[in-house]
Amino acid sequence: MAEDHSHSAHQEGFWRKYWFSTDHKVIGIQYGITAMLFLLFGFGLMLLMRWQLASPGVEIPLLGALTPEMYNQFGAMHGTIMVFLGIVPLAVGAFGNYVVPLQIGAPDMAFPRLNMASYHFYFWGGVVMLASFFVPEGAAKAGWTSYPPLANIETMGQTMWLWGMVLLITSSLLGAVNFLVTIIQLRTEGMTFFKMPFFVWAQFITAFLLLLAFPPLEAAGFLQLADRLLGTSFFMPSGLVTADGPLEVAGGGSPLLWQHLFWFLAHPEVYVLILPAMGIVAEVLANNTRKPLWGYKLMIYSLIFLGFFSFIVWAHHMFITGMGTTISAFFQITTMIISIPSVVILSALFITLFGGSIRFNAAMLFAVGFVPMFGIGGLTGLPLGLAPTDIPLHDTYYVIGHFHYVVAPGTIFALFAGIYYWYPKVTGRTLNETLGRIHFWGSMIAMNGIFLPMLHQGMAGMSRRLFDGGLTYSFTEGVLHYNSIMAVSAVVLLLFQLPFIYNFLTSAKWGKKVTKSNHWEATTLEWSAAPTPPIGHGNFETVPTVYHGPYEYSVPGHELDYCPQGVPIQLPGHTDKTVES
Amino acid sequence: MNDLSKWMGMPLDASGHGVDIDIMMSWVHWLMLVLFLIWAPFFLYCLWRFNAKRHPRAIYTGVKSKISSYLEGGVVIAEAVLLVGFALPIWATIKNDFPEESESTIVNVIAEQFAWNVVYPGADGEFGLTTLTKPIQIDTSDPRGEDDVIITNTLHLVKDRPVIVNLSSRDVIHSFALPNMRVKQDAIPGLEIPVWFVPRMSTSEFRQQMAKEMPISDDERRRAQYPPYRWIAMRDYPDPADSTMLAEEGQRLSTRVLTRLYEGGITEVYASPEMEISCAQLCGGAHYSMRGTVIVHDTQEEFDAVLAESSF
Ligand code: HEM
Ligand SMILES: [Cu+2]
Ligand SMILES: [Cu+2]
Repeated sequence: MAEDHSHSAHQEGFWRKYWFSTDHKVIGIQYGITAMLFLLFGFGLMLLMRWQLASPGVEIPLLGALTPEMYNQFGAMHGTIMVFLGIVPLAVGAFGNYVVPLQIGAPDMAFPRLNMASYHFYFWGGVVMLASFFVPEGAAKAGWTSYPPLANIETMGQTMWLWGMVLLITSSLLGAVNFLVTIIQLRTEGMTFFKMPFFVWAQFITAFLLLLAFPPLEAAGFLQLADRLLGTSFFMPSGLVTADGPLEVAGGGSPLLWQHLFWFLAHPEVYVLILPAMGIVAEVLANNTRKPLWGYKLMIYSLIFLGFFSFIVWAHHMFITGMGTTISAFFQITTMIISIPSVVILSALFITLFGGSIRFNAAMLFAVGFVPMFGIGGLTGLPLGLAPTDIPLHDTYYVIGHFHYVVAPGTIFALFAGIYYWYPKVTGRTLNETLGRIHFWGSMIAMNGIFLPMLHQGMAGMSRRLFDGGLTYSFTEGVLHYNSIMAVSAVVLLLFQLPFIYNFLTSAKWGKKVTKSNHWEATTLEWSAAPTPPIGHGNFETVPTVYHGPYEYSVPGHELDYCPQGVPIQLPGHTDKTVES
Repeated sequence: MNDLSKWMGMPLDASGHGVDIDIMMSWVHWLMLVLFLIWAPFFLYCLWRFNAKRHPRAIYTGVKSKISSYLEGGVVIAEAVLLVGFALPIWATIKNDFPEESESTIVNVIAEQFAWNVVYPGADGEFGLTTLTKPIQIDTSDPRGEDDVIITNTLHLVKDRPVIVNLSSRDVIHSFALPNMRVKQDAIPGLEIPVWFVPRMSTSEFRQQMAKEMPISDDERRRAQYPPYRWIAMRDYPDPADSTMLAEEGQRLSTRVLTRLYEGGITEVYASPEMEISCAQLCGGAHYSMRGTVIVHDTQEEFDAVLAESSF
């Protein structure tokens, strides 16, 4: 069958096979490579910003001294690229696409062509975003949040940003529909919902979030486009005056309307950033502790709960806009409530370690590193979610520290864990372990060197998005020296990505070959039923049947410490529960 | 235990309600610390004890105890206490318990790219219209505004006298942040949003508390250049060579002054920062330098005198 495929692939030609592919695995790889390039680019923008903050006004080699306008462009595009072009496409587009059909025993995604279209919308969305650096006066500079009226009166780059977002959102919507249908319809024989790996569950809930949260932002994007291009005033009140005198707009609109529409998307979006990461960590932890995920069902209920609640907390980003007592009470209460399932999931991950037989490979190091880092990120959300303590902290570096802990040593570590874990699946070769360890420890130290000082800077009141890194103000005096520590840490972080990049590029060809399909001795279908690397369309040589839950590791009475989902076993004690006839 | 604000690096609190926020901030961080201190040792212990070398076969059932449920229950209770005991009442005070207008300093603050225009109503206590020009001016055709005064980037207040700020913006969203007063409020075009607080510390008291010897190193001067450094000399500095003044008490330590001091052989200067207004919302290119100062006068007379001086 594999031969068959390569034969037809030959006839298909390069473009059909690698660019306009409808195979979920090729599309997953396309997503992965594109997203990693964007992550690297977004990281580069951040390095330039960190240089400027550490030594304001000092020229950067080749680029010269930054202007405030350039700084604001880099900031807005760093945020946009990291979130919409880097992490989400990698977590959902790449890992979701590649792994979900394999884990549920499906031959492909439900709508392969939609899948292809989704990648191409994403790709062109990215091209539009990048191109916006080259239009007159450069890219968008109103932050990744694009608050009007500033965004409305900004230069052409903002229009490009909006068109780019429209493409990216379209891509996500197509992808989300595809995931939902695939997971609901294409589960193989015996793969009931409560036998699905946690990763699939995470992608499932994520797809719901994308499907329901993005349309309001797409609509808002069109409204802002209309304001900019057609002279409407959805977000523009009357009586505005700028440096050029009174603004000629119809007026009567509301800037706050945008914030509601934006955060209605963007809060669920932060869960889009974290849920797939939790999914990956759960897989890697179960596999490398050699025991079942602790509280699997509890974790799934928490996940569903998080999904629902993430739609009713959005205005905690807006306490400082002048919110009264009733509305703020509502959003504070929902925010405190939503922190509970996060605590539950985090505790479950911690507890899973207990009683395990832990293998510390590179994937596991990143997964283990994720847990406390996400913990810091989640905990620092508490003072932000309570309105009075948000007063000193809102729009300071504390917020930046908070969400970077969740997304950088949090989500990005999880994504690295996923890369080390599934690389053998994709290529048939493993990544080098020693380089992986160097990559982990260096990144761990450097990330904390960048993000821990942010919490202290924010406490001191230092605002975010300051071109001079806070020099203008005297209250920042005690925390200014961090700026150079953070810049050095950022460079160190870059250096420690080099072994990874080298490892990633060379191991596909020269890495150690895996000796058996189930390289990690795992239980889930992608390892135990499909060959490594997987064959073309169809994925499985014989369609697998699932007999029990996804994490049957170290089952008492079994000699092997793993029982693949596709092999029937007798589970002592809870036969009736886990084995269905 | 109750107030970690200094320890956590928060700015000196000079307001009436600040201490409530600071205490709440401290308790939230205690909660975070306690959770972290429960998780971290457990985590490290597991990583050590259950290393495959030490523990070759995993235990299928894992943890059976209910401790984690108790922990989660504890978090629920702690968050409920923070919410009901602190967050809701403090927010209600800040939002609803406005002081009597007759006993307050009332100002309009109109934000624009990139300045804070503070409008004082004058003796009649009424605000007139302002013009749609840049810079903003009092509209002379409105009789209510005849005695109004606009002072850009300086907010004058009186110690212990409540202040009500009617906050608005003429162009984009700014955010009116007074770190020492624990005040932050977005200035949103199209809306006028009132904010109140009570300054409990005067500028002279603030300076006394904050003053310290500052080294004038080369580095300090380089920083000072970019942009002008924002400190105030707290003492006279006569030139040791002759008796001309290099810097006077109360003078702002600009690059020029710092350089003069440095060249006069002075390497340390006794100086203090100011209470500041900072813009906390990205508002365009010069957002980073949209700075104002807050001057809290010890007496109403001092305040009146300053305003009278500014109205000509
Ligand atoms: C444990 C629960 C969490 C709570 C209670 C929480 C709370 C908050 C609050 C209240 C803010 C607004 C702060 C402000 O602007 O003053 C915020 C900002 C943010 N949070 Fe969280 N958060 C939590 C978890 C997460 C997670 C899991 C992520 C992402 C993976 C995340 C990402 C963000 C981002 C990106 C922002 C900043 C948005 C911006 O202003 O640019 N948070 N968080
Ligand atoms: Cu949120
Ligand atoms: Cu501003």
